[in-house]
Amino acid sequence: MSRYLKIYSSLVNLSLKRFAENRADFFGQVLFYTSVIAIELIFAQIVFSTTNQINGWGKYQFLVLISIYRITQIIYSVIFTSSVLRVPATVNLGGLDLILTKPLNSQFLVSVNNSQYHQFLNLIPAIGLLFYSLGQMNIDISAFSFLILSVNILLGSVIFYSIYFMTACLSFFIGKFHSFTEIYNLLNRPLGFPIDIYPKSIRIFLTFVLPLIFIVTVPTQIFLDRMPLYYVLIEIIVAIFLLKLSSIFWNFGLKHYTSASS
Amino acid sequence: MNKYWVSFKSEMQVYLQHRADVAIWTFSGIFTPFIFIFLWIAVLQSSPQTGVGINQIIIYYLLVMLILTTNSAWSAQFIAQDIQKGELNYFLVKPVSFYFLEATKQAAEKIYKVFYVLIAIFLIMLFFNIGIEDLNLKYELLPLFFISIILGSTLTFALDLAIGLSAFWLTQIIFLKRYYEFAQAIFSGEIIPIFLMPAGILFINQFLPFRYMLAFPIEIIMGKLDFSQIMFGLAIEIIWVFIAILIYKTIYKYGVKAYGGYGS
Repeated sequence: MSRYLKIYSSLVNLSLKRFAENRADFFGQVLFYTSVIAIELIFAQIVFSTTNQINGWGKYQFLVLISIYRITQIIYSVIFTSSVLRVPATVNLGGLDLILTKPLNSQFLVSVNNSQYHQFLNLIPAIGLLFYSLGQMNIDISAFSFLILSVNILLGSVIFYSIYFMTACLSFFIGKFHSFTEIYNLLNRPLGFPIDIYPKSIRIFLTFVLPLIFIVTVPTQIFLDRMPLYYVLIEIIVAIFLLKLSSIFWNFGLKHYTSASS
Repeated sequence: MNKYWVSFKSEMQVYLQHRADVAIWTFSGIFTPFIFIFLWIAVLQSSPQTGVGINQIIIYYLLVMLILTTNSAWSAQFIAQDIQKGELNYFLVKPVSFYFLEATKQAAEKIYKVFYVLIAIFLIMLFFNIGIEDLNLKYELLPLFFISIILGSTLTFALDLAIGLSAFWLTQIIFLKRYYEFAQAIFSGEIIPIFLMPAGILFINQFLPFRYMLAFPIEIIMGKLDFSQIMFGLAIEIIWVFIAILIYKTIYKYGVKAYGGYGS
């Protein structure tokens, strides 16, 4: 375990050095994220200009959901996305050989070897939106609720990572996977809206088939006391189950890895 | 002309090889409007006083999916990469127009994408139980609808090329591209249907290019505009097409002179 922590801290260190090389890019990202959050606010204003509630969600509850979506998205993007994005090319071009010959868990290494930790500062506008929305709702949220929310956001990130990683494992079987970047968008886009806007059939699909509901909606509902606390246990079970499943997918894929083009 | 036809056929074959990828690209491209159907239905159910029907919103977004597919452009990031890696050299030594060569790539891909998107639209119509007769489109305005699509796709394409070519001077075009796409999503009518936009934004939007990339053809075919409004819109659209082509040509002319071909 200490070996993994040591390697992980080296990867974090390396990522921060990359930030030092691209400072303008970093500030551009923060500015862009701030613009995104500002537009989310205007969008909510327009959406709620003719009504106070949309399927049980008020304007500021909706904004709390959007802010939790953004926070979760930043966390899984920073830690996993740019690494997982490279998996199909790594598999297809035989670059996986380099990883497999290292005395480490290969799934761990391909999942975090290109993390972008400097982008964590993008959290500032998203957290700002969360506190602004809570302030407008005029409700007291305990420190315990924030703690549970933090745990749920991490679990949501693990769930997203696991599903996304499993789709990356398809590259062992289908050769070139040019459209893999779009898979991220397809998984990511439904998360920024309350599950209640979808019809029953899609809600069932997003709960039991592709459990995206556990990434943002359930953590938000628990945080806003719209769901009982025991749902955290369900979150934990879903996260562990999907993480284990992603590991099974990866190991199954490795058995079919031919090291072509290396 | 023959060389562009050859390029077009060659690109068609490339995309035929990558049918699954093209299908995923297409569905990803129309996924946002698909989700927005549900959001706006929920909004309209909560506030019936808006006067906009649920079917109207569904039909609007079905048309958004179609126009997003015909009017999308994706060359910018590849052009920027070619410039940064010096791979533009391969093109510069060929006796072809950069504009038309890129256009053949886009056109070839769109033929497949339109096929996929029509299937998706058919399935969504089945999902929402919408029949052909419910579409209630103004078929007599089809010629103007197609003209506005051709102008809109030219506008989108020329601006996309201009953004890509800005890599002659910028080391990264990603933020330029992101802000442009961001403005496009907001003002074009993709995330907020044009008839639900606040009056202030709607007024400004008449003079911005974004409406003509997406919402304008939809407004025409849904009968939201009278004849004088259509003519006024087409006039503005033509002006924007000229401006976009002028921007592209200017950037290309001076950019090629500044280009060092490093890394090739």
